[in-house]
Amino acid sequence: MVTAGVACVFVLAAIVTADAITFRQENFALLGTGSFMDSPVQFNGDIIQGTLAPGTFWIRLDDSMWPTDDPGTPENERIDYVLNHYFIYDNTAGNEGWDGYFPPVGSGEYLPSWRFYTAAGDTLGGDCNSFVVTIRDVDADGIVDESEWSSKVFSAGFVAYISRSGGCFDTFCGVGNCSGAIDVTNQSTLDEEFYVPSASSASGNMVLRDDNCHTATESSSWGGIKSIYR
Amino acid sequence: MKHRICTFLSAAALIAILACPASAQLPDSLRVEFDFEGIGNLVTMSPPLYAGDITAGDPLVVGGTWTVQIDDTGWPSTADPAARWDYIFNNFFVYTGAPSNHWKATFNQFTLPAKPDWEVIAPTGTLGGTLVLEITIPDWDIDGVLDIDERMFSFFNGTLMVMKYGTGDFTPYCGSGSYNGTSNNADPANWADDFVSGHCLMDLVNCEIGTEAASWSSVKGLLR
Repeated sequence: MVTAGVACVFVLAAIVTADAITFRQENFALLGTGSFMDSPVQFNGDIIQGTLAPGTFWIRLDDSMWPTDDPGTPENERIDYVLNHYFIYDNTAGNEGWDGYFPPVGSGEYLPSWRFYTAAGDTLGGDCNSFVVTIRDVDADGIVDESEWSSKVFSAGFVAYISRSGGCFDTFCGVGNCSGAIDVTNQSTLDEEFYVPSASSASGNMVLRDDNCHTATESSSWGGIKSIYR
Repeated sequence: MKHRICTFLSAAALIAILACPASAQLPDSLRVEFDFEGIGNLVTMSPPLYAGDITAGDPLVVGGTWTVQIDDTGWPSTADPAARWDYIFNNFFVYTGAPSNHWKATFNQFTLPAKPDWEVIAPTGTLGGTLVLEITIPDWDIDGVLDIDERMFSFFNGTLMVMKYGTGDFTPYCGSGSYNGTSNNADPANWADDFVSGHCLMDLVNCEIGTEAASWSSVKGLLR
């Protein structure tokens, strides 16, 4: 209870009021696990640093169209589908690799979704308006080798919906982003570590706006939000 | 005489070892993380150039500088900034309504003639490559109109390829990376520069050594 109170006071200190609209900035670092082989595909774990720590998170990809792997065939049907459906090869000499866009541009498929739950009992959630995964083709052979799949990087954009907010964030919506790495930790299961830096400095960020997230207004003042960054 | 030659060669060898660059000490795989900040301008610079300093993070790169350059072939001239901005906004930014309420632009090889380029010049070497850039501008008042004050703040994120090869300490390396951050503009009505800050992670591997040729058939084998 004391911890939660201190957390709220700390967070409230960052609030900037501009006219009737209040903005606040949050930051976070994440460390979790997951796998593209799981269904649903969910990376979940701990919020390890930043104003939202301690807490837990999950990020879920829509795998409703993904096949399961058939153990009776030499191919991995599930990973093949992921590579073929989401990833595009760039053969620029010296920069060879694949960029995967979740979902593919113009596909109309569901966006990845996400939730943050702080230990103080506050909740944020919404969709990822951007989720890009990149695989380096180290040997430039146009084939995703095991070692190349094992070391991926990603970046994500977050949109926080007021309908998913709770606790201190009950009336907030907003936008944010993060980046990091998704590395295979178990070659036999293709379990992966999901990492957003870092344990010492939180690099994920989110700007949240209080009130009027669901009705149109024209009263915002950017003098307020800019002051956060000075 | 023979002894003197041997002594000279031994001394030369010792000097050569001592002068050997630090890259020989770096591992075959390396994760580098750093914070960055800088300025740039999509509207008044052709080609658009964002540049600045690496302010914190891995000692290998702190104290260095960075640049990102975007191929603006086909964009209106900087002589008419209003027309140029309208072109950028109308051709790159896509609006998503409720409940997201934001504009998002993607800059990659499909929306540009080529992927944007980046370079890091660190105290002990250089790295470069290509990147994917995504920019999000929130529609804070949810009216579907990009107001001038909404142009004052945006979010960016993306991934990057680290090109073969770097220089100095980074000579053997290639790899991949990701980054994210925010952008502030004090006066978009007068085409002021954007101030950007963020964080970058790079996973580097020694690309001079042979890489594992295993394909997914071998992984499948492991899964059995």
